[in-house]
Amino acid sequence: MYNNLQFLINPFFLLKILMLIMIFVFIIFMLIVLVQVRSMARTINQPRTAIVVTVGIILLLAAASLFLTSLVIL
Amino acid sequence: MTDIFVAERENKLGGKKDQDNLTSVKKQVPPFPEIEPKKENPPAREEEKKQRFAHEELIHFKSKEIGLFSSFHLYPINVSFKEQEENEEIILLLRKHFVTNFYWIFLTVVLIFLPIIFFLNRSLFPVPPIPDKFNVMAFLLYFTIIGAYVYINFITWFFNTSLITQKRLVDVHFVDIIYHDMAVTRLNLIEDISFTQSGFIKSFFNYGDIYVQTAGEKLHFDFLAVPEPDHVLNVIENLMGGEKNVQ
Repeated sequence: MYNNLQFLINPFFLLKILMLIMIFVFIIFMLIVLVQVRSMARTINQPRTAIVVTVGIILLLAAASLFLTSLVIL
Repeated sequence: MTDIFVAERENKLGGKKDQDNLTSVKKQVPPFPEIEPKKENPPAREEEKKQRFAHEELIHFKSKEIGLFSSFHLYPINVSFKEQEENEEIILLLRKHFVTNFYWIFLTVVLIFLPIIFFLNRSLFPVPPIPDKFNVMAFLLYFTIIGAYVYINFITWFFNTSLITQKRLVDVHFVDIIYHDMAVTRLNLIEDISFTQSGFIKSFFNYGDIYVQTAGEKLHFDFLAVPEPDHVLNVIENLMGGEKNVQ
């Protein structure tokens, strides 16, 4: 009856879950960072703030694509 | 007794004849049309001139636009802050000297080369064999985390800014991502100002700490590791009117 759930104790499956959780936490963290950056950009407006925000968004998108890739190929 | 002779005053232009000639010339030349002097706001203009002159020694720091890695900028363009008043001009924008970022940049370089060293000497590390796809994903995640580490350190440096306007000092703190605050004090509330520049690295790269004591709500304003601390001190002193106790 429980033969189909054998994959749950597979170490590679656990590794996959671990990686997904790590990437998910990383995404949440980057979201908080981006909110803070936006808040700081309002506090003090500098000409190069746009570049800083763009780099943050790129990092967030990289983490999101990593999450999806891990979900599919692992 | 000695006699005191008083010589008769002579006209510098010469005798009476010369004076007569001059009056005749004066009559021939038509008078200039009277030009009214331009009415300007002399005290304000002079004050501004004075201020500009005081900062002339720093003029080589003034460029068109503030750079991404700039830590000392005179009259920055397109910079404003939240509670900026009308006609309040930012004179100096300060950040920590870029050299202070050396620690995390060095650590990043080490962290970048660490997996390469690991893969080259894989036999030395007792790691169980795992499929390549896990290796690739772990590798990508590792570099994304390094990217985030660099990003967070950079924005911490980038947003820790001090501004000097002609009216106030503004200190923006951005620490540990989740904490930031902004302290403002008026120049007339400054009681004492001093700077320290100790150690070989600080002297070599010419940066130091400026301590400002105020009579306001926040008693201490510390501009840490700012470049050209002596010039910054001079600028603040000039803005204050040079009457305060400057150590």
